[in-house]
Amino acid sequence: MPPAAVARPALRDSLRLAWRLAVEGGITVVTPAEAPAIATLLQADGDMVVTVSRSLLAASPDARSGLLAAHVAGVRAVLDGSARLVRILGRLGTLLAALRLWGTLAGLGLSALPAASALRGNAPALIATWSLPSLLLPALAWLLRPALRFALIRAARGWT
Amino acid sequence: MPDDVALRWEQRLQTIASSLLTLEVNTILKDGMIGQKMPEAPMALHQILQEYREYTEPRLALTEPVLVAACGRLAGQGDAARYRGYLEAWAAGDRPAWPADLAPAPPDRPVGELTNGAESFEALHWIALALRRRMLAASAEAPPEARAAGQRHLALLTRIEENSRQLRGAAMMLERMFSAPSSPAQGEDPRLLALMRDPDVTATGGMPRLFGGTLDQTFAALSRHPRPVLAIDPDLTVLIRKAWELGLEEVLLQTTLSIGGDVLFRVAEMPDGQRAFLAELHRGAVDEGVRQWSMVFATLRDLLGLVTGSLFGRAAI
Repeated sequence: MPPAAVARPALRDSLRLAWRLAVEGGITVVTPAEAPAIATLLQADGDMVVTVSRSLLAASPDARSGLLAAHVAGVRAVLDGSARLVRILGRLGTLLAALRLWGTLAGLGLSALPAASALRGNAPALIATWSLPSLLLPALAWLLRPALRFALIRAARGWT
Repeated sequence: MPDDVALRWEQRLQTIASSLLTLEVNTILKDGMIGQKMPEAPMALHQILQEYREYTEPRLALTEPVLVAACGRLAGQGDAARYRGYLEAWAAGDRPAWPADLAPAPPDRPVGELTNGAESFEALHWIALALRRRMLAASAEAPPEARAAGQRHLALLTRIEENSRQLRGAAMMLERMFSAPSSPAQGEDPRLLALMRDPDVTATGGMPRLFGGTLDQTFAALSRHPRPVLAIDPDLTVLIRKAWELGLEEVLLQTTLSIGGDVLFRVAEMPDGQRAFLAELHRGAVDEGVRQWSMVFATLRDLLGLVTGSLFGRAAI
C-alpha cells in the first residue's frame, strides 16, 4: 500500500474524532464520499471493519488503486488525529499521576501530625518512632532518587 | 440509574483498555453500499434485531412459548433454571412440556412484532442455537459439497447466537438505565415483559420505551420534546456499532492479533480476480491497525518514562 502524506491534524479535529469514537462507537471513513465504494469503521477498542462495495471489484485496476490510496490516506488521517489526542491526554494523565504520587508521599507524612500532637504529652517515644520518620519519608525519597534510579536500571538490566 | 448497572467510568474505560489487547480486522463485501450513518442506539438495536429475524424466521419461526420462556429465563430468579431447561430441550429438537406451575401455557403461535428489549435477543439466541444444531445434524449425512455450502450459514448462525447473547446484556442494562423497570416479579407471568408491555409511553414517566419497546414506541419516545439525551457507556456503544456494521454480511478476511503474539488469519472462499485486491486492502488495514497499536504502546512506554522520571530525576526506562 503506498504511503500517503497526511497533514498534522488540528487539535480541534482530534477532539471531534475522539468525541465520535466515544459517543458513536466508532468513526467510519468512506471513500469516495459521494458514492461509497470502500468504508472502514475504526473503533475505540482498535478493531476495524473494512467494507467493500461489490461494484468496485468490476472497476479497472487503476481506479481501484487510486481509491485505495485515497482511502488509506483518509484512514491514516483519522488514526493520527486520535493518536495525537491520546498523547496529549496521556501527558496530562501522567502529570496528574506524578502529582498524586508526591501528594501521597507528602500526605503520609502530614497524616501523622494529628496523631503525633495528640500523643505528644504521653508518648514522646512514639512520636520519635512514627511521626518523625513519616515526615522525613518524602524528603528521604527525594534525596535518594539517584540511588533508586541506579537500582531500578540494574534491576531492569538483570531482568532482561 | 440503579447502582448495579451504573458501573463507574473507570471500569468502562478498563473494559475498552482490556479489549485493546486484541486487534481484530474484518473485511466484508457488500451489495449496494450507501454509507448510511448508524442511527441512535435504540433504533440500531431494532435494525439489528430485524436483520437477524429476517434470516432466522423463514427457517424457524419464533413462537410465543419460546419468547415467554426467554422472558422467564431473564425475569425469574429461582425459576430461570427451569425456563432454561425448557429452552435447552426445545433447542435440542424435543417437544418439552411447558412448566405450567410457573406460568399459564402460551398458545403455540408465531410472535408478531418484537421489542428491542433483552427478551427478544434472548429468544433469537435460542432460535439461532436450535437452527445451528439442526443444521449440524443434517450436514453429518449431507454430501461434501452441500456441507461446504452450509458452512456459511453455520457461521452466520453462530454470529447471531453470540451477538444476541452480548446484545441481550446490553439491552438489559440500557432498559434499566433509560426505561421504566418492566421485569415482572418472581412468579408473575413473564408474558408481562414481552407481550403485555404498557403501550402508554407516558404512563410510567421518564423515557419508558426507548429500550424494550416496539419500533413505534421507540420512535415515539425518540420524537418527544425535549429529545431524550442518550448518554450511553462507550463499551456498549462500541458493541452495538460493531454488530450493526457487520450485520449478516459474510466476512471474507479476518485477522486477529493478540498482545501475546498470537495471530489468527481466516480467509473465506472468493474468486481469484477478487482475492488480490481484497487481500491488499485487508493487509493495508491490518498495517494501519498495527501501526496504531504500536503507537499506543509507545505512548504508554513514554508515559511510564515520564512517571519514573518525575520520581527519580530523569527517565529511568
